[in-house]
Amino acid sequence: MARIHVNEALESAIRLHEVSMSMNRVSRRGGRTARQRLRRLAGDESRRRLQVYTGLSLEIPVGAAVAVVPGSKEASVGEFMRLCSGTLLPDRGRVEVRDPVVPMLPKSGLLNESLTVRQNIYVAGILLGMSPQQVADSLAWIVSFAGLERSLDVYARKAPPRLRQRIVWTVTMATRSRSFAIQGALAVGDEAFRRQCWEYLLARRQDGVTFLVDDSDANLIRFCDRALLLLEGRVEPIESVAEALARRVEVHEDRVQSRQDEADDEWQDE
Amino acid sequence: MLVSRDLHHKYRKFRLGYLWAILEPLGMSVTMWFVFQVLLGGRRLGDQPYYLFLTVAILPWWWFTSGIASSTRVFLGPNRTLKVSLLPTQFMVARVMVARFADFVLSTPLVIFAMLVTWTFPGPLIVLYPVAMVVQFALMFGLALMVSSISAVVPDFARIVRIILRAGFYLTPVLYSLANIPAGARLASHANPLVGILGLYRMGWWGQEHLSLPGYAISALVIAVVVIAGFIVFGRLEHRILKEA
Repeated sequence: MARIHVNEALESAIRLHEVSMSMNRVSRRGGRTARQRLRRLAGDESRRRLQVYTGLSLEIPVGAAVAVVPGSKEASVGEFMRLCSGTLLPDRGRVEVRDPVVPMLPKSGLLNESLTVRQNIYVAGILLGMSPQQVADSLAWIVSFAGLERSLDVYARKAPPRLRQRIVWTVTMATRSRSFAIQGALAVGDEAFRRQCWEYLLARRQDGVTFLVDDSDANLIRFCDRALLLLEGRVEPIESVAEALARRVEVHEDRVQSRQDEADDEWQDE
Repeated sequence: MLVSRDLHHKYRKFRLGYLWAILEPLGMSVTMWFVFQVLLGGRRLGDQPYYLFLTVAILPWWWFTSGIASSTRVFLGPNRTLKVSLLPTQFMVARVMVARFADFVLSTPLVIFAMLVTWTFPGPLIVLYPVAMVVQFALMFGLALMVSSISAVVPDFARIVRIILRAGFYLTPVLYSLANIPAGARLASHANPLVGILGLYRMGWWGQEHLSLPGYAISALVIAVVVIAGFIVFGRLEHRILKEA
């Protein structure tokens, strides 16, 4: 039943072995002819199958804080994170983890508007792999860390967006997992809570917790000690985050240049 | 919590709320009784009293169709919960099945109502009623795993399921008894697993009429095959379900 293979004897935190995966990319139809416009109006979409990874093998060491940097339009960070956390399965190959990789998204489907904050804490905790008893044991910590003393029995639909972000962030951290895949939610909420998030994350990093992070460039440089550059069909490990960000710009410029060259060639042929 | 939220979400827009869990099958059973007993009463359909006979089977049938129809929609469209949930994907199907089971439990007072109206009470074999519930849940879960995963990959499949369910209503002895099926086809009819399950539900009131051990063995075998096939098909299609989330 478990989607991902948890192997406590694994030396690295995450291991991808010969992973191949294709994804359907959906895009709205373009074009300016009457027929194309009508199809667009009718909501017609084009779907194409894209080979995202072919025979990808890589290991992420325990305790690393890895910046996941998109190097091409086709290489989706979200899919790589989901692959590592087991919420997406490869077509071929194997993903092994030493500890469950808990995902964190800024706008996740964890909170349910028709439940109270307290109920949501339980549901979100269970969805992230905690037992009801573990959630009950962590409840006091979650309430004090996220400042939920007065809003515990309020319905989530009445909670402001920043409070919801605080709930999701704190419950995710309450899982006490040794690996996290954080996408755009390294530090959330108001200034004071963001400071709290940073303090907590830096302490966990010191403890040897593994992080896969996709966030702003400034946050990546501040928090991560190495990077993975996602390119078409492959992943390039890079020792320095700044270098990876520079490589991303290079790759982007190369692509723009090659597109211009192609356009020039076509024009000359005509 | 999620199941109670689903039920709350389903009934909150109605003024009569949860009463609809009873009123809908009540309306259906009264209509069927009126048509098949009063209007077309010339031919003896099923066991007597017919209203109780009908009610005992129509509630499980209602549960079955609503559960399987709901399962076609479990993975349709974007599903943000699936992107973060570390629970097995099957949990999403189980959640829908438990919600529909709760609907069924809420509607069971109708059977008591039918017993009082007809003044007919069950014998000791009524202990098979909860057994039938467990077996039906297992069958529905296996079938829902299959239906939900295929529907996620081939959306047209949901329409096909709807047609099969409609046909299934007439091919399953809900309105009629096994005695109304030609003797030569009676044993073979147990290949429809619901025949055995409905027999278990009715056993408490009409024990002898529904006692067919070879028939139950066939139904049990088919149920086991469906449940195993459900898990296998779901396992094969799970990666595609997750991609569509």
